Amino acid sequence: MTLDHDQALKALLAQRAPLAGYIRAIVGDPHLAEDVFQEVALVVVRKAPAHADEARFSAWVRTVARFEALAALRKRHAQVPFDDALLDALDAQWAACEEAEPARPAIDALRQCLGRLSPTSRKLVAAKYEQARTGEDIAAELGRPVNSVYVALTRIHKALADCVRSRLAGQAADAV
Amino acid sequence: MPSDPHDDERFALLAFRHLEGHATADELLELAATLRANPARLAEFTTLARHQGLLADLLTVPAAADPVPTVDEPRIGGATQTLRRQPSRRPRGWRPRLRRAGSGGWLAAAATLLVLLGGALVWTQRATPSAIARLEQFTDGRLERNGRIVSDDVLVAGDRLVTNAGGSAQLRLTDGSRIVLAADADAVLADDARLQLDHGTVQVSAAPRGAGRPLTIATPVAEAQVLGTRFTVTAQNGSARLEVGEGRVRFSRHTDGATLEVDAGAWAIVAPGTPFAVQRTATSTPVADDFVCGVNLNGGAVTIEDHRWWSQAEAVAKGLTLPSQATTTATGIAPVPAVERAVSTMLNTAVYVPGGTLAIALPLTDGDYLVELWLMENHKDGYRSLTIAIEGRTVATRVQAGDPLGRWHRLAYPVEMRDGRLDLVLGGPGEEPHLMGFTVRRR
Repeated sequence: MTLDHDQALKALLAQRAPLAGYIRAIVGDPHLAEDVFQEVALVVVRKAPAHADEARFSAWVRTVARFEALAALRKRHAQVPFDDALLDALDAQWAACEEAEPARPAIDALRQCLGRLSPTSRKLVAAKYEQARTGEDIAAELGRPVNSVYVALTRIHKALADCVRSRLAGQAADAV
Repeated sequence: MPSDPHDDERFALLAFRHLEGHATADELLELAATLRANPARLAEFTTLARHQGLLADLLTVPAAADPVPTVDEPRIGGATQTLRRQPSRRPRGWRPRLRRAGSGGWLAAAATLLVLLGGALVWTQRATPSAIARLEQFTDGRLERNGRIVSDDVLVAGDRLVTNAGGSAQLRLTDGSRIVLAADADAVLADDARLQLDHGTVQVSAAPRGAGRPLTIATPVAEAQVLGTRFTVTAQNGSARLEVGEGRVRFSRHTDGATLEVDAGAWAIVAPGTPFAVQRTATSTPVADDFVCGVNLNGGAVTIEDHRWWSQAEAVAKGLTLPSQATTTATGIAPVPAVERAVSTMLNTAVYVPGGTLAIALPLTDGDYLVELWLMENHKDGYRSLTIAIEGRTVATRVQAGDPLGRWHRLAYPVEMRDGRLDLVLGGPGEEPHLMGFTVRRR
C-alpha cells in the first residue's frame, strides 16, 4: 500500500524516537541531530508519495537520515565519524534491531523495564536522559571518575536490552 | 568469553562521548576502528544509540501512570552521593531548534511540524550542501575538502581531486554525466555543472542537460562547454587541448573570449602561437575526392593542397553572391605562422564590409559539408572581433579578437544544408567583417 502524504508523516512521527537515536549515532551532537530530524521530515513531506509501502518506509527514512546527517556534518566542516562501510554495517545492525524489536512495542517494554531498575540506576538514567546531562556533568556532581558513570550506564543499557528482549519474547525477566 | 574490563571502560567512554557530541577527532577514529573490528561492539553501540532515542522520548514525556521519582541516596561507584532532582522537564543545556516553534523537544517539534505541514505549508527550507557527484572509483590520489584530506565517496561543491602518477578517478554527476580523471591530474568540482581542471586530462561522457546550465570543463586558459557529447580536455603548461569524440563542444579561449564549436572527430588547442581553430583528427582528414570547391575572394584561381580554388569571378559565374556594399582589398602581409606561397596569396586578398555584415551565398546541392573559412588580420593588431553564422546558426564569436597583424585562421564548421544554398554571414553591428577565402568539402 502506497503511503500518502499524511500517512508518511504519521509513520515518521511514530518512528521519531528510534530515528532520533539513529541520527544521533551518526552525528553525535544532540542539537545537530534535531536539525537533521527536521530536514528529514521535510524530505518525507516532499517525497512521501513516491514510497512503495510502509514496510520499506523505515529503511528509506534511515537512508534519508543518513544522507542528511552526513550533509549536516559537512556543512559544519565537522569530521564524518564513520565511513560508508561502517555506516552500512550500522544500518544493517539497526535494521536487525528494528525487526526484532519494533519501535512501539519496544517503547512499551522499555517503560516497564525502567520501572524494574534499582533506584540508583533509575536516578542515573533520569539524569542522563530526562535531564540530558553529560556523563562529565554527572560525574562532577558525584565526585567520581567520568568513566565509572559511563560504565554504569552501559551496564544499565545492557540490562534494559535484556529486559526488553525478554518482555517482547513473552518471558518474565529477573529484576534488574 | 568475558570482555576485558579495560576495553569495556574505554568503549563506554568513546561511545558516550560521541553520543553526547563531545568526542575528539582521535576518539572518533578510535571508536570507528573499534566498531569496524568488533561486531559485538557495533551491536552494543547500536543498542546505546537506539535506547538514547527511546529513553529521551520516554522520559521527557512521562506517562501519567509513572510515579514521581523519589529522592534517594544513589550509590554509584561505591560512593554515596545525591543527584539533584531537576523539577523542570526540560533538560539542562537544551535549547529550541525548531525555528517556528515556541518550545522544543522532539515531540513538540514533531507536533508543530505536523501542524505546519498539515495545512498550507510556508516553511523556509534551510540550504544544506547537497551531494553533486559520487566518486565511483578512486586510486592513488587524494580528495581535499576545505583544505583537509578526507575520505568520502560523496562529493560536494568545492571538493578537489588530485591523482598521482599511477592514479585515476571516476566520478558521476547527479545528472548521470561521467568524468574520468587520468593520472597526474588536479581538478576542483566547483559545482554540479563546472569542473576546474588545473592540469591533467579528463574524459567526459556528458548526459543531456536540456536548456539548463551546460557542463563546463574549465582550464587556466580555456574552457569547454558541453553541448551533448563525449570529449577529452587536457590542460598542460599554459595550453588546453580539446578533442571531441561524440557530439559537439563549445570551446572558449579566456584571453579574448573567442569561441569555437568543435564537432565529433575534431580537435582544437589554445596555446601561444597556435591558431585557435578546429582541426580534424588524422583519421578523419577529408580525402581529395571530398573537396567540392574553394573560393579565393577578390583573387585569382589558386591551387592549395592539390585542389584548385575558383577565382572570385569564377565563383560569381557559378552563382556566388556578395553584398552590394562589399569592398575588396589586397595586402602584402606575411601570414603568421608562415604558410606556402599559394596560401599567402589567397590570404592577402579579401572582401570586407565596413561596420556591417558580410553575407555570402553560394548555390550548392543539399548535403552534409565541412565549410572552412580562411581569415587573416590584415589591418592592425586587435582590430576586429567577428561573429560567424552559417546556415542561420551562430557557430563562433569573437573570432580574431586580439589577433596581431598577420595572424591567420583556418576555421572548420560542419554544415547540414537543406535549401540548395550555402549561406555565410560574418560580422554584426560594430564589427568589421572580412573573408579571404573559403572551401567546401563533403562530410
